[in-house]
Amino acid sequence: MNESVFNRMLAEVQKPARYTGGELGAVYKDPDKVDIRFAFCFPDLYEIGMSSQATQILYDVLNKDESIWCERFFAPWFDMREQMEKEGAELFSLESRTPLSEFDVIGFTLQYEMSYTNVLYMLELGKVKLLSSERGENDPFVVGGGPCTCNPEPIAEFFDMFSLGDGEETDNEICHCIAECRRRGLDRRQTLEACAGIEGVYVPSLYEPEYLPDGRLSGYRALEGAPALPVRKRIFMDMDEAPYPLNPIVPSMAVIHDRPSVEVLRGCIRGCRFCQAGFIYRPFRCKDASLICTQAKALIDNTGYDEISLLSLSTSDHPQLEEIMDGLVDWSIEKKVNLSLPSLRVDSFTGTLAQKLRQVRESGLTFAAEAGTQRLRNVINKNITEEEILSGCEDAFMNGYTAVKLYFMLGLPTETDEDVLAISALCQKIVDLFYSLPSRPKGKSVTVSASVSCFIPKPKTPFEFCGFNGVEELRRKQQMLVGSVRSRKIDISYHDSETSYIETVLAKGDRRVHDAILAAYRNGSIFDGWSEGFDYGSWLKAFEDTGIDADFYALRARDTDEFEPWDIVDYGVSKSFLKREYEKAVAAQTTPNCREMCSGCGVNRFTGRECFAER
Amino acid sequence: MQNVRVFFRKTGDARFLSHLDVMRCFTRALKRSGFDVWYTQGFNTHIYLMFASPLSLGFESEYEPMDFRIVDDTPVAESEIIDRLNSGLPKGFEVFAASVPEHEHTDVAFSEWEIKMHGDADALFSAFEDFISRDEIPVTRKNKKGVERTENAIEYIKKISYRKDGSCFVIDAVLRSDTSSSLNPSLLVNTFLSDCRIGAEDIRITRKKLLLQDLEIFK
Repeated sequence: MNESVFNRMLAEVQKPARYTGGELGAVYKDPDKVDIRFAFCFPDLYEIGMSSQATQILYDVLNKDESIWCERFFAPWFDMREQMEKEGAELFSLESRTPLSEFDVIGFTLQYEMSYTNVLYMLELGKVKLLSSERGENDPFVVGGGPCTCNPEPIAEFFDMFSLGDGEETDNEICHCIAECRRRGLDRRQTLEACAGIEGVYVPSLYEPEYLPDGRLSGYRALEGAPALPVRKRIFMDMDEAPYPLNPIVPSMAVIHDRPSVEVLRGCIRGCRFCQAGFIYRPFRCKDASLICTQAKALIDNTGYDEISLLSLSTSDHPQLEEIMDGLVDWSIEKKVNLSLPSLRVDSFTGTLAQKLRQVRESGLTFAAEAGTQRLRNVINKNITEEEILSGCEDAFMNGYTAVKLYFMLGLPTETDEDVLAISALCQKIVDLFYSLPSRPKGKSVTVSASVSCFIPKPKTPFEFCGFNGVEELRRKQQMLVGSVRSRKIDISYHDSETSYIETVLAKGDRRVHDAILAAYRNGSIFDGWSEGFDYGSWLKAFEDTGIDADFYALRARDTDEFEPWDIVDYGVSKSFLKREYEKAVAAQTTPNCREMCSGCGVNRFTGRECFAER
Repeated sequence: MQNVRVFFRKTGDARFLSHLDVMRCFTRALKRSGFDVWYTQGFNTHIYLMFASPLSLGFESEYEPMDFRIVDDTPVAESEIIDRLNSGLPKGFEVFAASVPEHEHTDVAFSEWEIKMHGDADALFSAFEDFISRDEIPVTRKNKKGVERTENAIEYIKKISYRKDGSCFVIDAVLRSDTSSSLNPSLLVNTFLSDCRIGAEDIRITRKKLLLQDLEIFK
């Protein structure tokens, strides 16, 4: 990148620090002294990408390897795109300002389906061919990883390979494999075949989907040299041995999640049936309490932040939660560090824990109730009762909290209008509870905010067989819910159902859907997760022009025996388990958490042991 | 308790960080330094630090002061402070001096600026010669309430000279920059460029020094 071009562009944009690099912890190497230059691409803004622990972990793991230099790329915001187009500038790395096309491996982390058009946007800005089939011998290898790869098919045509599951080891192995193939003079196809031999790597071009006359999938044909399907995801079992960045990059500008994190556990024992993360990150693995404390302290010492979060899907499920709190609470008070525990369950928010947390700093409190009635909470296996929610709130109020935020979903399977109205009724009960407490915070009013999202049936969950509730139907329910609120203390916010509909298509699509993604991108769609970017009309036109029937993917309830695009990747939980769970869901029967009883989800086929046997 | 004043440079890409970002970077660098720094005693306690004259986004500086306090009175070597802070700062920041504050922040009266631009240096030179010799250079700006007012920039200029440096045109200016009244150099330069209608690009504005009323250096 020419320096005066760079300076000209940055002088014209809103937040130039998104594009400069140079933060504390950024890694600089001599490009001549590495074998592989790795472009870590996060298909969203700098502020989003730098808030992700995936960025920090992979950057650290790749750069600890002397033969690799990993540099970062983020999606330029609209103002920067305008400048880049004006100057004819290619997408460049933050560290050395090298164009994307000069890298050996381009790795995208796919955290969210609505970032798919940004993948195309970044590739095209980087002058990299969009389709895997168009890339030749001198082109980079484009790799995808992250939670969305549990159905890689809608974007399979854009990627040369996918790294499934935990990426701590896979990405380095891919780099080494590519370097080795290059030394041996192998061509692109041979290199892809070699990479397909790495545990957790899926190379889509080695398989061809086959369809039934009605449009459903019938199966896949493996080409010569392809490993058998399904491809298993990679698991890093021992959390105490997992590489963890203790000198992370510290963004100089403010980012969304502006604090370091310690990952305390991976996986989840709860089995909430709507939650994709709860299934695809199995098995449940914990980091030892003393290591968590050591890492938290090292992170604060190394970065100078005054806040740290404990990261997991459900922190209160850590068997040593008391020890963690004992190891961190006094330290955090002494060091004036704010301890944030984002994922606590209502039933675990006991008085002492609330008190311990409040010693550090007052912050809002959030509860994920997810549904308004007990019946519907049973359907989704959110095993908390109204009494638990209310007693959690009571504890919080007694400890001085006056604001409670609740998360709900609309459009859940089997949902009725009664379930919808129960959301506002529950909020009202919490307001009434506050005023019924003689020892509530004096002179203060209460705020109950409910954030209501649209349920998206995701692959690898028991609801993968279900259809999306529909754009109009969700709007009707949203209006009905808002209209039922009788108190000014209750604030209901809801999500746009059009975005959720598109997200469902992208989550549940097969390989053919890539045509529509490409067409939407050509219609101008980028930053689909942002209100500034999302354009429903662009997507509808894309489906129309490419002949992709979006309802076929999003609305259709699927037979439990149908061959699904995501059946080609094995994330541990078996389809027969998902079927059993689906049947129980429809009957409003709950499933105990993994610690109480093993429900045979199938992940221990990978690990070869019981998840909760004595350690 | 001891007061410490450090001076730092903010150059290169660091110019793209806002004043708020700079404060956050120094807060972290201080926390990371291990010095027993003093925290404000308010409800939401935070590390005490104080900047004399905030720098606009996009400006560079070779002379930025920042004050903080160390709870312990034991003297700390200057090099110790410099090294520990520099190891915790992003690229483009360089602390180069640390001492006991000599002047008050309110003693700052002027900033010495270098304004450098690329373009037709000869044309810019003669246009500026004409521009700056006027008795009145009206500049319009908004006050905090959003009310526009027009003032004469000349009244804010203590010293000014200009030169050609290869293909660059350079203005060296000492402009008023105290707490009650100041002139932002970009306002002067933008007024000049829209007046002369000569194209200039990659305009780089650098603060060289902070000065007292008698033009002595702020320390």
